[in-house]
Amino acid sequence: MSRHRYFKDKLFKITVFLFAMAGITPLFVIMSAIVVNGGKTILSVGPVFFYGLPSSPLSSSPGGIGPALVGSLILMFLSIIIGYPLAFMTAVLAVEFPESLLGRFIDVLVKSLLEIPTILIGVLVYSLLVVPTGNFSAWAGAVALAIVVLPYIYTHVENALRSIPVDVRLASYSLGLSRAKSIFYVFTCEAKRGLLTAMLIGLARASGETAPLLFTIGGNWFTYFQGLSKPIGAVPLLIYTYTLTPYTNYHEAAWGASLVLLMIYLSLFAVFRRLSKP
Amino acid sequence: MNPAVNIADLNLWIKNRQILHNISLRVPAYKITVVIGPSGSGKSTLLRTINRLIELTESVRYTGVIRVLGRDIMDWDVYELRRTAVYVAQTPNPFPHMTIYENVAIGPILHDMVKDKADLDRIVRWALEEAMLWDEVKDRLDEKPGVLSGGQQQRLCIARALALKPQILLLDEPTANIDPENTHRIEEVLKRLKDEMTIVLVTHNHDQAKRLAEHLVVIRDGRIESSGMSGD
Repeated sequence: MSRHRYFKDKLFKITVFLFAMAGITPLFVIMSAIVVNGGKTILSVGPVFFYGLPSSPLSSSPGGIGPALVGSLILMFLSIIIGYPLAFMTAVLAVEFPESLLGRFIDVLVKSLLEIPTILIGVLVYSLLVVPTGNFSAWAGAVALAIVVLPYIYTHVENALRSIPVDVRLASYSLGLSRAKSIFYVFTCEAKRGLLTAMLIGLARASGETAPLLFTIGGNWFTYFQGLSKPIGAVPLLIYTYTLTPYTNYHEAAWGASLVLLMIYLSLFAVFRRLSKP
Repeated sequence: MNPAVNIADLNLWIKNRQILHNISLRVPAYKITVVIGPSGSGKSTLLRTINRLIELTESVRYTGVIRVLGRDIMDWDVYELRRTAVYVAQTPNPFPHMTIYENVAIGPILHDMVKDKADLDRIVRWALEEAMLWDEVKDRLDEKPGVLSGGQQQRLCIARALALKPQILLLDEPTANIDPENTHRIEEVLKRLKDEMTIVLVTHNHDQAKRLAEHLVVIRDGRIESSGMSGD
């Protein structure tokens, strides 16, 4: 290799490396800030941070995030209960009836949901569920999150169903199994890893969303779950709300809550990565 | 004896290209009918048309009448038709995420053919014995079919088909991708089964056709070139 080409090659490698570093630096800074500040809060409060109630704004302690954490878990669960079957059946329609006008229309529609700002989904659910009932509720939050996670779950379920080998499809139908039996007893069995991954992706999305909850759940930080038709808390909304306050102890609690949220997300992501490996 | 399958004036097109031309054929019951012809002659298409599996292919249309066990295939419930005339593909295609036992059991379970677990165990064992596979897998029924050789997997697919107690077995070059020893075993299985069901076997292997055919059909370019009982 000539000297000129050697230096060009080196320069290219260094440029790529620097840009890659620049790309991951913000992520590294955010994560380290959350781990350091959030860790400080959690260590100072102890386990009470996970199940305790918030302290008063002028207290010296950050208090706990118990109601918000339980609220988040309930909302994640409910959004998957609502969103997964919808996404699954929609993906079945798109994969099993690819030539149908309805299948193609729904495919485009659901995928376009990925691009819609999630705050608009919050506004939609606000006008459909919160205004008519007259109060914020867990239901409204769960429906908003279900709409948000639907296209993500749909995309992964669709990929999982499309990855089923043609031979397996042929085998199922040649045994005289109906389309419904083939889907629910054979194809889901063959694609279970992908279907589970879809659920984890949905949970991860639901765990971190704030915008759809702004107009739907009411942000109840002080009492544990009181029913589906009552206001409820959620960790992302608590972080948002606490950050806007002028109180130092609430800022500390927001750092701690951020670390909790990060741990939830990373746990789901770790399982997702494990399942994604062939 | 009435034919198990009676095809009259069958013409079939896939994406406006005609694959089968004026096929008329009577498949005698409880005999081995061998359909032989070069690759691309329409043998597999003909086989899949008998139980309407061809309808899973995009843009297919056909004219003519096919009667299975005396009934027009369009009058059958399509799933019942496919259970009665079961198709076994050229490439072994066991369900990879199910165990060997589950592969055989799934058909009887989903068609509500069994009363209880003991009944299911009996059917699974019977089907594996009929496919001459029982002795090789009886101690590893809980394992996935990936541990089996290609020939064993194909016999597992035959066992899976037999578990449905079909009246017609449609085999699409079942020995095309497997070794001579397993080919011999599958041929033995078919010879044993012909007293219990009608067998239609597609092959391009002349020696195999000679060994098995009681009724031989030669197909070329989507047309039947000759058809007759073996020895005619």
